[in-house]
Amino acid sequence: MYECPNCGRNLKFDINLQKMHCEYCDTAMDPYEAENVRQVEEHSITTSAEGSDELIEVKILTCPQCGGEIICEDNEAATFCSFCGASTMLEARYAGVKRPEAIIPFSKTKEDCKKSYINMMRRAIFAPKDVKSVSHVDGFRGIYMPYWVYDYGVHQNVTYKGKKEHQKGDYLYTDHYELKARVDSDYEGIAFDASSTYADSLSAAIAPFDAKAKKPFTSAYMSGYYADVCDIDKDLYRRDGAQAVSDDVADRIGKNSVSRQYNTKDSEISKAVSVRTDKRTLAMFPVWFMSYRKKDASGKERVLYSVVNAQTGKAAADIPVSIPKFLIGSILLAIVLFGIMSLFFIIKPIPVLVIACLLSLVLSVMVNSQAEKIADWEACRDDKGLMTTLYGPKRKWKRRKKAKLSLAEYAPIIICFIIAILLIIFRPISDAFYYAAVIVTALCDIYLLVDLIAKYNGLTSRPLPQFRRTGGDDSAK
Amino acid sequence: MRNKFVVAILTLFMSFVVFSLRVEAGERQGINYPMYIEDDADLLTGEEEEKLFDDMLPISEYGYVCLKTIDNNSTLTSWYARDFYHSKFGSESGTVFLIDIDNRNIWIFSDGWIYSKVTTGKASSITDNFYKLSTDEKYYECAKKSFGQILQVINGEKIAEPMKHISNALISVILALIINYFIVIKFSKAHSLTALEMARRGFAGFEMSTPTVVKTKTTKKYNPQSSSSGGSSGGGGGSSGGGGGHSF
Repeated sequence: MYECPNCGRNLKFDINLQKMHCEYCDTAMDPYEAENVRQVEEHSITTSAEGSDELIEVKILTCPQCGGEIICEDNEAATFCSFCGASTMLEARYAGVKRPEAIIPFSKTKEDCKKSYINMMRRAIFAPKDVKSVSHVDGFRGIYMPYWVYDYGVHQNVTYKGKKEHQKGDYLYTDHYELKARVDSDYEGIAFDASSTYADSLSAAIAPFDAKAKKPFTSAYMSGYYADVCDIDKDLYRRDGAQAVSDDVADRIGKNSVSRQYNTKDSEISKAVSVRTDKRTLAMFPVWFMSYRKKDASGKERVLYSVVNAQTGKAAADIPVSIPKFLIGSILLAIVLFGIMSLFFIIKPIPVLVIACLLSLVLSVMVNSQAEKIADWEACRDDKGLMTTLYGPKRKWKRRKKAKLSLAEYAPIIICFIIAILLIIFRPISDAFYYAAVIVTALCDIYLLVDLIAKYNGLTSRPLPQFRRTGGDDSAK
Repeated sequence: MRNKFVVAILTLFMSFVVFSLRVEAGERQGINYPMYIEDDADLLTGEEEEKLFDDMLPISEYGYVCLKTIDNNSTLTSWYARDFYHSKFGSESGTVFLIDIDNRNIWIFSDGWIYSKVTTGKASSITDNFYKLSTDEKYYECAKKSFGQILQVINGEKIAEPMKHISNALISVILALIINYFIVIKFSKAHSLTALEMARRGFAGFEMSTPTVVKTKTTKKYNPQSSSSGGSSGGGGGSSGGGGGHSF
């Protein structure tokens, strides 16, 4: 806790002032100054170890339901878990955690966050009313998320291949070349989230942060906010960043005027590029974070997350679709389309039947693809950080269960196939048969489309998290 | 003697006039255009043909009107109707109702001003409404009612098109669901930066020397050049008019 030097109350970081501020006596103080004062007055477990193994003592709050951990600088009790949305008293303990080296302070207030969220929700025209309500928006909590920030460099002679072709008579001649150039390139502030509890999909959705605006770390910035715990190895994402840098450098080399003359391939150049990690920093980035519990169609509790980048204001959220709203919206749009089509088009039953049958085939493939994505989603296989923390290297990740479609989801394509066969065999003259077939096939398509939306909703909520935690000092050796 | 000569001349003259007015069987003079019935398949009686001319008469104010029946056609009904019409009437305003017994199709083909009214869609709707009469071998009623609806369309009256509305309604619902699904996909998720995009945002400088180029080897591959066919196909003359039909 940071005490006000004038009245002894709790100092909290004020976003508008960008200083520590006392709500009672209006004292404002530079965060680094407040930190210096605290270090003099309070005993803190700070070991000056070599390199980056410095620890700081923090209060860690653990959710008894999901095991999620969060750091809190204040003395107030926390009664809500941001990760599983449970309203429960979080258990507190003190522990030493790796001291971050940098921090980006909050620059977007909670009001800015709410505005960003509401603007985003305006585009989600089929979202249910409860996720757009004013009371829902109040649930945002300021949390500092840990990020590994990498600086990379490429400083080498790059040798790569090129070619030129020319036709002479009946033969195509290819002249092969070797090109060599000295390349010096630098990349800074490439950041990946360092918490297994913070989904990769969410951190990617509100990226980027301007890592060049980071400041030296002091816990004072965290006063009044929470912080997530860093539990991802420093090298887990290093290669991902290095590969991205290698691809970008290869692209720039390929665009060189000389390279262009020799039909060089970026993928080949990328293999010749060697990326060096110049710097690796643990930094805390500000995020407004909200979790929301909701039951799915089967009555199972699920959690939905909303996040806002508290530096840039970019918002992202798990936004479900309200099926009744979706159907009403579709009927209204259908009325408009019907009016337009009636003015210009007359489509005979056989083309309509062919379109409907092909569509049912495409929709069946899409439904199956969604089912596969849901299976990956449920197993969190898209979150490299979480999977590695829980299971280790990728080769040890559990194989997910293969997605299975129900008979009702296979039925439409079977029905369409049978109808098509019968019409081909019997070739009835009367239009009534074709229109009956069209109605049945169209109803199958409509069923598949509604099923597709229901499956899409499966990707907009998450299973209640369960984090395997051993507790204690995360950085102890 | 002189009177007999005058009577003979007058009779000869009147016969000439009568014969020039009374054209070959199956043709009648209409209001502004002639009307034709060519019942090659012998589907109508003489009495039915005469009654049908009365049904065709109002349409003849606007263009040629023709009923054609055939029982031998090695091509598509639509092609036959088009070729028959153009060979007989060119691109002038008119309409032909074709009953093709060989392919078991009825077809309406129109051109000129009448085509601006009796469009392909309207022709399809009209044949949709009455194909069952041909199925029941009621060819006269089929032709009569078809010409009746052709006249309604020319006069700007509405005709029943129930099947068109059913098709359009179903397609509209499916299209609306698909469009809204893509709206959900597009607007419900924020764009996530890929690692490559993040790398580009972290770009802090790039310098590259002029590459040195060294030739290493030359390979060759047999790649015969195919002779290009000379000339392009000439642009065909566009055929005017259009129509629609139905099987029976």
